[in-house]
Formats: sequence, C-alpha cells, structure tokens
Amino acid sequence: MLNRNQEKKLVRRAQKDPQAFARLYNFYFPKIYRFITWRVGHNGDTEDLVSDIFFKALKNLSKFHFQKGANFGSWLFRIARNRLIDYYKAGEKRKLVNLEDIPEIISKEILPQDRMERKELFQKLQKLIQTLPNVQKETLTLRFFAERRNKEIAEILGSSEKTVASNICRALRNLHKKYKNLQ
Amino acid sequence: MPTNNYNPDNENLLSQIEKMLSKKGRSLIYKNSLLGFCAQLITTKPRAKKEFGQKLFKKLQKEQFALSQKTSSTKEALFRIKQELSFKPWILKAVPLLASLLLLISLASSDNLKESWASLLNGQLKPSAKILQKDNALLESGSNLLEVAELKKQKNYKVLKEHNGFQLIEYILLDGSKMIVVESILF
Repeated sequence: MLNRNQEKKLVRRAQKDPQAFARLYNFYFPKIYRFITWRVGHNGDTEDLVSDIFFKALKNLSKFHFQKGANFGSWLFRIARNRLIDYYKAGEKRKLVNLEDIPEIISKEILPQDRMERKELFQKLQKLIQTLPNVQKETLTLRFFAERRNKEIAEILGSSEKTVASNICRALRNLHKKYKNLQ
Repeated sequence: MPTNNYNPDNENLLSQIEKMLSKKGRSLIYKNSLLGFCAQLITTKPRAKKEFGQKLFKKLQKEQFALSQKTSSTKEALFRIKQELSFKPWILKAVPLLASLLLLISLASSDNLKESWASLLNGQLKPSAKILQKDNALLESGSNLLEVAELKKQKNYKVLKEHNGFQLIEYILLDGSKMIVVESILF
C-alpha cells in the first residue's frame, strides 16, 4: 500500500524514471483491470480498455497535479471511468460473452473449485451488476473491485462521502435480493 | 428519493465491508447471508493474463522513453537558444536599432516624402508627379496646387494630438500616402 507522500514522490519520478513508473503500474494495474472486467465482462475488451487507460495516464502524467484531497488513484480512476463512458456511448459492448472470453477467476475456498464454475459465477454476478442503476453500479465496482475508499469514490464521482456510503449499502441490498431471486 | 440516508444498519454493514476488504475478519461473516454474499463478491477476483500485463508494461516503457526524449530535446533546444542569446547580449539591443535605421532609410529615400518635406518647408503642399498623372480633374481645372486647406475640405485628415495650441495632423494624400504635419491652431 502506498501512502500519500510516497505516491506523490513516485508520480513525480515516474515521468522520467521507469522504475518509479513500474511501481505505480504494479500497484494500480490489478485494480484497474478488475474494475474494468467487472464493468465489461469480456477479456478482449477489458485488455483494450486497460491499455487505453494506462497510455492516456502516461501521456498526461506531466499535467497531473496533487490538489487538496485529490490523489493519483482518483485521477487514474477518473480516466478509467471516462473511457468506460466512451465505450458505452460508442455501443462497443458485446451482448453475449462466452465463458472462454471471461478472464480467469482466482481460486478461493469460498468460491467453487472448478474454474469454469467460478467463471459462471462471475458472469452471473457481472450481469446482475449491470442491471443496477448507474450510480450504484459505479459506486459498488469502485469500492469492491477497485478497492477505492469512500472519500476517493466521492472525488471520482463528484459526490459526497455520505451519498457514496448510502449508495454502496443500497447497491449491495439490491444486488443480494436479485441474486437470491436467481437461486 | 433521498441519497444520503445514513442509518445505523448502513454503518454496521459498511464497517463489516471494511473488515472484509482489509482481510481481517473474513471467517466471521459467512453466517450472515448478506455479508456472505459480500464476501463472495469480494473474493471473485478476475485475474489478467501475465503476458498481457507484461506486454502492456513494455509498450508503456517504450512510450515513456519516447516522451522523455521528446521533452528533453525541446528543453535542450530552448536551453541552447537561451545560452547563445546570453553570450551575445548586444544582439538583443542591436536588432531593434537596426530595424529602426532601415525604416528611416527607406522613408528618407521615398520620393513622395521628399516632395512632402519640400512643400512643407515652402508652406504649401504641391502635388507630386504621380498625383498629376492620376488626377486629371485637377490638371483640367488648371489648379496644380493642392493646399492643406483643400485637403481639409475633403476630410482626408485626422488630428492625432492637440497640445499647447498645436495639432499633430495626419493627411492622406491622393496617391494614398500619408503625411504628418504639426500645425498651430491659432493660424
């Protein structure tokens, strides 16, 4: 985990120093990847979007300034969010996704042992998330899969921390209800 | 619909999520169905292919190198120009002086200006040879003298400044050239 000062130094160095950039990349890559996968569902599309996001971030790194309360993570996720908005606007989303096109799901004791079953579970949950209202969908994916704090989510979405907190609870209850109905 | 109804239930749920995300109390939560569902959601982690992550990083490094080369070459060029100029400060002073000198020479060599100066010194404005050729009407009327008063009638002038009973007037002559004259308001 990077604290604010460490991140600040890394971002400044990352404009020239590949090692500093590598640290930022290694820290944020899995989070961005998970966030996009949960929103898109298709591995190929996710890879395209993740590449676009990192290239855009790298090109604009010199323009990034630490402001009061804002950090590099929220800036990066704002880029990711905007790229997703463009993706949906352009109607690039695939309607049917084969299990083969779904990324691997890391094995955990709570999840099914079979990798295809894990993929099925992911697909089911991902589809359910897509049915949530936009704000709930965004808040939930940022909190659970991108592992952003409520304060940061509020910065990314331009809302208050209280609204973010209540949207997370609402989204979870909503999603759980839908999931139970499916069983 | 209110968006910020922050009740104790929500607070409890959020603190449980916090514990789950920080990987502290995952074993406690399976009894509760909503929290169990949360745990399932959190642990369902899609993983990127290793090759993709590595390939993307290599591409980004190339891009980073290209970007740093671009910015450093621009900086170097700017630095070189700055250094050259700092070694030759006289260039900065000489350039505007030289430009003014050239302008003066070109103005002095202008035939129209010479004639205008001559007529001004004589107290009268005489039309130049070019004007005589162009303005047939003046030639026919026999009047080859164009006085300041005549120009004033045609409103071909502009008062640029007034000071202590004097006026700085810009006349536009018939051939389109301009002349600036200092006149006394009293006369």
